[in-house]
Amino acid sequence: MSGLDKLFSGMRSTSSGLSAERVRMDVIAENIANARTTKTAGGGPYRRQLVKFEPLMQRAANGQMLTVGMKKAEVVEDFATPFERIYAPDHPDRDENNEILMPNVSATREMADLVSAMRAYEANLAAQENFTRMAERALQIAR
Amino acid sequence: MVNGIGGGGGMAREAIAAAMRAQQQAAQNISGGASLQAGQGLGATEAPGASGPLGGVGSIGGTEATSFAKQLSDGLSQVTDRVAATDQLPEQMLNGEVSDFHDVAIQLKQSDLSFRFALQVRNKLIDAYREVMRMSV
Repeated sequence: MSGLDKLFSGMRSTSSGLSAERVRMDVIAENIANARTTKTAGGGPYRRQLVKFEPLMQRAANGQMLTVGMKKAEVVEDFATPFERIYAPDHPDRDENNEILMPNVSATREMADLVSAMRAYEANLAAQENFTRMAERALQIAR
Repeated sequence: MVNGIGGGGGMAREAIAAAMRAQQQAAQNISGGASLQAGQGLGATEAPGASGPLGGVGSIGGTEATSFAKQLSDGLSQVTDRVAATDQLPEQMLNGEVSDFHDVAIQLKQSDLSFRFALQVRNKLIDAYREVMRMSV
């Protein structure tokens, strides 16, 4: 880590947080877009996706491991929520009982997740702004 | 822009790098949890910086000062690197190589801040130099 990077380490952490929340929003958008996808390439309806995050570690000069932000670990599928079975006699994907399996995406839950992702994004932005303001105020000392 | 200042003389280069060094020390102190020491770190590094215009250029060649001179130029090149990286941003954005808006904004802000910090220390040193030049012998 160079000197300047150290100087801006707070900014880098929030930057990774912003990126992570953006990934989360992308995944939520994917879920909402596929809320009525009843057939996927793997067979069966679309399965809701979730993002897993983990801290971003970096080895410091003295060999110590430091947390320098966070990153997307992987996108996993939601196996906990069951598919909804609904009666749809005119649907092309219906089975012999005239029923189809709907994706396990709940619009309400996705919207709630979207709001929380947006708030987290805003929190990171606020931290970023304050870091900048601190640096600028510190610069005022030299004036 | 930073190149222009660097070309202005070794003193400006010293000033910029001294600022970066002071900032590094301050950052280290802050991460150590002692915000008071950060102020001391800044104050302590001002001393070699201020002596720059008086005897700095001569002592740079000496063996004792080589690490200091190296650190100075390292600091400046870091600022230069950052500004140069920002120069390529518009092109990268148009080519679609930048995936996040905030990355662009943060990089712009970082290069702006590091440049302004460097500039501010350079101004201070030039001021000190002028004061010395005005002294009647």
